[in-house]
Amino acid sequence: MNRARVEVVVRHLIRNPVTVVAGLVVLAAVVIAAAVPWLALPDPEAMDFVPYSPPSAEHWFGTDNYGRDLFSRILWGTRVALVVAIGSSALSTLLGIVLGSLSGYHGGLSDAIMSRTFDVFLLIPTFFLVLLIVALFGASLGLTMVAIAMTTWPRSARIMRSQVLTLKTRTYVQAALAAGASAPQVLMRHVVPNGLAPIVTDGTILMGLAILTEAGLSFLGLGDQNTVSWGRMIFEGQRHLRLAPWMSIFPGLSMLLLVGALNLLGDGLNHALNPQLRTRGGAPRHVPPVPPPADEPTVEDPAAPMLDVRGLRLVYRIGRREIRAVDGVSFVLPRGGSLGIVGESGCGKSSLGAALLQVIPANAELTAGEVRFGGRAILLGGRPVAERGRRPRIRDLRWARFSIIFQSAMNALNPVFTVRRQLVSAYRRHRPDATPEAAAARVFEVFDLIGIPRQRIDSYPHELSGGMRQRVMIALALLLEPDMVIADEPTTALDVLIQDQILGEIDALRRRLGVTLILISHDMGTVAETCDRVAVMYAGQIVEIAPTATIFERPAHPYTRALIGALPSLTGARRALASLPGEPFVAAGDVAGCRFAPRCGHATDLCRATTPPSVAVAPDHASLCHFADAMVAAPLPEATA
Amino acid sequence: MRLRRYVLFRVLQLVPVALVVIVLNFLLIHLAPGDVAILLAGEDADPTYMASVRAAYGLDLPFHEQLLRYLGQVLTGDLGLSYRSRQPVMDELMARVPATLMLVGTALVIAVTVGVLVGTLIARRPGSAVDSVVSVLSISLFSIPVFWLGLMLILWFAVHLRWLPSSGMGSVGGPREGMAMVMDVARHMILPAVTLATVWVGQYVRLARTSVSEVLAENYIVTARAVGYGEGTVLLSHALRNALLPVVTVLGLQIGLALTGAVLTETVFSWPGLGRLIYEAILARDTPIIMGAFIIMSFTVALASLATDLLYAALDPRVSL
Amino acid sequence: MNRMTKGIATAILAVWAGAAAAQQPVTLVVPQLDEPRTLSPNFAADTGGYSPTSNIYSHLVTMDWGVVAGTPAYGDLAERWETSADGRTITFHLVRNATFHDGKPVTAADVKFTFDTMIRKRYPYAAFLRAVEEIRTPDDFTVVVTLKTPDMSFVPMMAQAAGWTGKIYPKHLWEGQDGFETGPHVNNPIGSGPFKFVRWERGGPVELEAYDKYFRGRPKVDRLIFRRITDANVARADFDAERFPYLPYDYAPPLAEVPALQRDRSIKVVFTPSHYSRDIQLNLRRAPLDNIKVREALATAIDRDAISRLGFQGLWKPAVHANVDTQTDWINRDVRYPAFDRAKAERMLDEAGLPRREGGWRFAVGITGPSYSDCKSITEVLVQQLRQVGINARLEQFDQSTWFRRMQEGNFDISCYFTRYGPDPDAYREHFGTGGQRNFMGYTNAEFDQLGAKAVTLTNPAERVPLYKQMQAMLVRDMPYINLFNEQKTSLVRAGWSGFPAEESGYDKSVTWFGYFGVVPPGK
Repeated sequence: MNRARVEVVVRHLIRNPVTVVAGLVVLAAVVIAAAVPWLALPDPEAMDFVPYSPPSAEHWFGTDNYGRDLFSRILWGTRVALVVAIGSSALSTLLGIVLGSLSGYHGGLSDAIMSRTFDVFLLIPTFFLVLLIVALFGASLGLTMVAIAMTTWPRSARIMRSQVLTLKTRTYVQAALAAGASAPQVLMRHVVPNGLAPIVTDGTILMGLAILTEAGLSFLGLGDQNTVSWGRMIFEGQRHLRLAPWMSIFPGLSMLLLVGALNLLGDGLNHALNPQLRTRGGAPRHVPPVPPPADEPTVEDPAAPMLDVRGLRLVYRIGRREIRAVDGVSFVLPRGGSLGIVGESGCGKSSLGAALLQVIPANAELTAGEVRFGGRAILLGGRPVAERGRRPRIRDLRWARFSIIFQSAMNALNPVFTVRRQLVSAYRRHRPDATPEAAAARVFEVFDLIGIPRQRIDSYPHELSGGMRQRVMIALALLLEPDMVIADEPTTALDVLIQDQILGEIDALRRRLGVTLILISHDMGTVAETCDRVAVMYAGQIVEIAPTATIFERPAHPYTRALIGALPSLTGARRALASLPGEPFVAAGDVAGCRFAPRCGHATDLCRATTPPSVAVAPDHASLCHFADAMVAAPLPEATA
Repeated sequence: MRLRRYVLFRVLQLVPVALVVIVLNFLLIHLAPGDVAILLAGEDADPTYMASVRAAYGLDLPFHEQLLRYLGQVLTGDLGLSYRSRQPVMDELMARVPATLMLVGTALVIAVTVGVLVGTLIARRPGSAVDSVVSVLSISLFSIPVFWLGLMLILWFAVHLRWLPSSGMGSVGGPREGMAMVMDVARHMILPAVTLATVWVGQYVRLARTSVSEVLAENYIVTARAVGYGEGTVLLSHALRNALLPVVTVLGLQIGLALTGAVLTETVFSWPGLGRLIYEAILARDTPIIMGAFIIMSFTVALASLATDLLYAALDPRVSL
Repeated sequence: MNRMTKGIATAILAVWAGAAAAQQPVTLVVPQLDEPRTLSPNFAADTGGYSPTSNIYSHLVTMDWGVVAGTPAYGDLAERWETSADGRTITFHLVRNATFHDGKPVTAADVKFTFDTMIRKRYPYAAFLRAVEEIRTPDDFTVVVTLKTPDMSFVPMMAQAAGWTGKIYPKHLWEGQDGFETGPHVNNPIGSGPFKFVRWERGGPVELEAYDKYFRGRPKVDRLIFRRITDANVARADFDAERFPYLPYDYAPPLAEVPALQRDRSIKVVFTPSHYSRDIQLNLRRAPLDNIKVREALATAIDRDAISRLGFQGLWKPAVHANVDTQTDWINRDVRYPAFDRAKAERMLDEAGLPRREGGWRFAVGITGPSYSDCKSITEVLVQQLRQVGINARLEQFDQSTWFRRMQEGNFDISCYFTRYGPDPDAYREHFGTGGQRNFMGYTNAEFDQLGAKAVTLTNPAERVPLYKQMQAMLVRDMPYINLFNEQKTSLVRAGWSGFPAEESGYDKSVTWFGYFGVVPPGK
């Protein structure tokens, strides 16, 4: 881990109050363990006081059956707990690191044998093996630690092995080897330090486990007789539970505190190392709906555009960061029209699709914008529209009139259900009166339409080829004869031949069924064949929108020009966006200047300082560029080599 | 047919586990100090009698012959006779299995049900305050020493409130058949089962929470929402089955830990199960019982992992057998 | 229903209920730790079998807790016995009305058959018959045993061991068997004791019922049931719930609870002294314990009262002689272990050339002991007392068999131990004689050996006493062991019941340590 990474991790750590408290508890335990001989405490073994005294000002935790001061014994017990925790986890981790990295590094037969050994050891019930070892060889703290280490090492060995397997293919490791470093040197210097992070995390949890294991042994009477361990105190206290419950209560509480703190610390470390763990997923948050505008027609206006989007804004919240994935998008899509939305991954085009259907992730929020469907508002001010006391309008539109085709390679179909189950239940969801047979009949109808063999209906998604799966997704989207379909990257990850087939099918269906279509793609070529109009998205904004032909012939934005430059050649070889240096821009707050400026070959100081206005270069052609007019005029470079 | 071959294959994979377990236990026990012959013959025994005992138990054979002899016996399903009771080890173990199964099973059902329920509920709001609180709470739960929790529950519910019995599995002279006996046993089981379930539940809460919230981020969930299913349907019929997969995996891996909890809990509550038998056997140095119990335990764990794989396959059509 | 008929009905019911109560058989449930292996007691040690079989079978001579009140042995099937003047011939006269549960009389032939079989098969009881030269049966009710050498401990030891593995088997039912391990009666025992065998299935209780023709008279308990309860907590809870009236000392409650129990009128707390002590054995082969000055200093450093207070709630009596209080006639009260004096102990250690060194320690010792809870209490406090005089004492705990093997190998410094002093004082030789079976200390004293060898042959107790007193003086002088406490057992009995073996009302009536013949239920 480099320094910057360490700083990030530390920042994450100290931002979590629970982790901080847990860390302080562990620190306190360490301090107590170190300082206890110098504290003015009674000798923990001295039987000087009245036995069975309950907790009092003199003996905070009371005294035990031999008249020993429990407070002193518990503080001394901290020492034993930490020695056990650190000793056994250090030993176990060391063993694990050595064997794990050797196994991962050498690979081949020795790896096969060793990883089988790890597996076998992981199957042996750890505690019983420790129990057996200690029972047979006598109870002593050292042996207990060795026994715990002997039975837990495969954990870190497995982690280390997989780390080494990933790391050893990295260039710097290869380079070090090529430079003549010996294998152990490389392991010590390059591989082990990089694999340490998850092992440290596991180590804190192992420490908690070691304390509990030692306590469990002590409780079974197999603890070291000459040490004051919390487990042994509980073991002794058990016999006097009725007479002196405090003998059991306090050592148990101490153990709970320390083990809990260690586990919480491990959990905090884990989250700091993998920050995305905490906030992924979840159910969408409920946003109170707003009533429709008073001046709205009560029935749908057949003359109104299918979709009218104004100032739509979608924000992701990741920790305290805000990312504006959709930042003020507006467009109008007439009935039966087709719009292509094009941009690099991360430009917000898929978020736009989700925002239109209002199926956004839990950590996303629509902060502004209006969406009208057939002239009736479904989103106002970023909030869903519902007639007073009724469900949001979008819920009646979804799928029945407005559906979406996801990219099926990305798990858009539920992997544990058959195609039949997913399609039939989707159909019956909106046609509750339909029998399963009627629903299946409708599914077959759509299958025939798209060219899916009927017997596929009983397959699971993973049993279908990529193209077939995509067709099933399309069938799902068309099942209820919607007016409007969004196709979100429907052909990505398919091979070129299938891509063309699918696109052709979508296009044909659109025309046959009169469906209004939004096609989202990262590829200008894809939308060129299917769509009347194209919108180019960059950093959450539509930077240029125009009829398809116009945008290809007279692009008015440098980004569009770059995308066109990236068109696949006729021979099928694809030129990457390599002509565009730099990373795509991500809008994390208010931005001054043009978002594309850092990557733009034509950028001027004006571009870097002033947000470009929307320039109408033609009645239906707009571009977010200070120099739009000049761009339109500029001749196109030879697009393909 | 494929299933049968798969099972056969997996069972074959268990063979090295079994061998390691048997040899390991045998090594440990024979390397340890202490003389089993004294225990068998009694401390006062006549030396000639002692010798005859050694011969009868094969204790005078060379080490490797004892090992081979033991391996041979185990492979024919014979785990030997208990030194203490002179009953077949298998019978002794099997007599204790139902009690442990009942206790561990009940506790697991409680822990998994409650854990998955709570975990699913909080998974809807990852990163929220409730999520953080429940997360800290569940980590605290599995940081509790199980035997201590048992003692505390005894202290409160058996000693202080006198609501429930503190130990055993049934009352002496209590009802021995019918509904009354079932109720008697159930009353005795409440505290140990709750103890185990409490310590385990935290783990399942966390697991279900992580797994459900990850599944909720999957695209097919977005599809389900887009299709127009209500959030309840999405959660229960589209997300949960996928989310249960890791729970099943951990459940299988947990059997070893579950048995650990069982030994400690059975000790606290004097529950007459397998765990307590092992503990008694270790204290009495009843070697055949210890070795037999370990073999059975390790097999249980290995078989549990096999059962987990099968269950996983049943839940996830992507896993082909 | 008018008032009169109602009254009559009530009266009838009351009478009927009374009659039922009178006929209601008395059942006694006794908890025990282990399940029997078999119900044939004679071929092997079987802790779970002792209790049931001791109530099913009879013995030639026997002994119960009456031993602590001075009865080393009494006759069971033997009505009385005489020892010849040379001490070598013992003539047992059997009772004439004893019958086996199948109705056949018990005769001398059964006794001879049983003893001969045990000697031939080297069963555990054979160890107590080692001195036997010959067993004769001049008639059906006389057994004459001739010993190789005179041995005054022969009958008491035979009586003690009879409770475990010395039952008299019916010859007519066992003749066809090679030993006592096989045959139809291994688990279907026919004895001549106070209770007949009824039923036992493995895992279940052993059920017995009163034998009407028992030669001492029918027992007052009608049904006797032994139920296995492995756990002290469970047994205690069941005793508290009045599921049985007697909680044997195997399940002794923590002594700290005794004061509270003693306040409870419905419970009798029974303390039973024994003929054992709790003491520490010192390994004389190891320095500096080989130095008598060091051993004396150790003895001076031990505060028995503090151990009793901390470990036993002050309920155990210190033992300051080389004997225990129950051996009244045999104790040498003139010699006693040094009194506690910590400062003096420190001086003695200084004088022995073992001054406190760096860290304040003079030398280190390991302290071990068997896994009895009372030994654990003693060693726990002892460690602290020794540390206070600068001896770096550490606990070494092993499981029972490891501990015993280490003792046999002489691989220990100091160990808690349980020295036996009865039923015959010849026990001293086993513990302290050169090569004695329980002389783990490596103590060798030719004079002591000679005295012991002589004392066991003397038929007149008055002649034996001085010799044993002399031996005790040697033990206190040489100090191979330091006596600490009189062993004491704690049992609980429900008020109203009496005659349990650990109670004084059960002494010399229980037949064995495990016998329930003497039990008197409430109202009988």
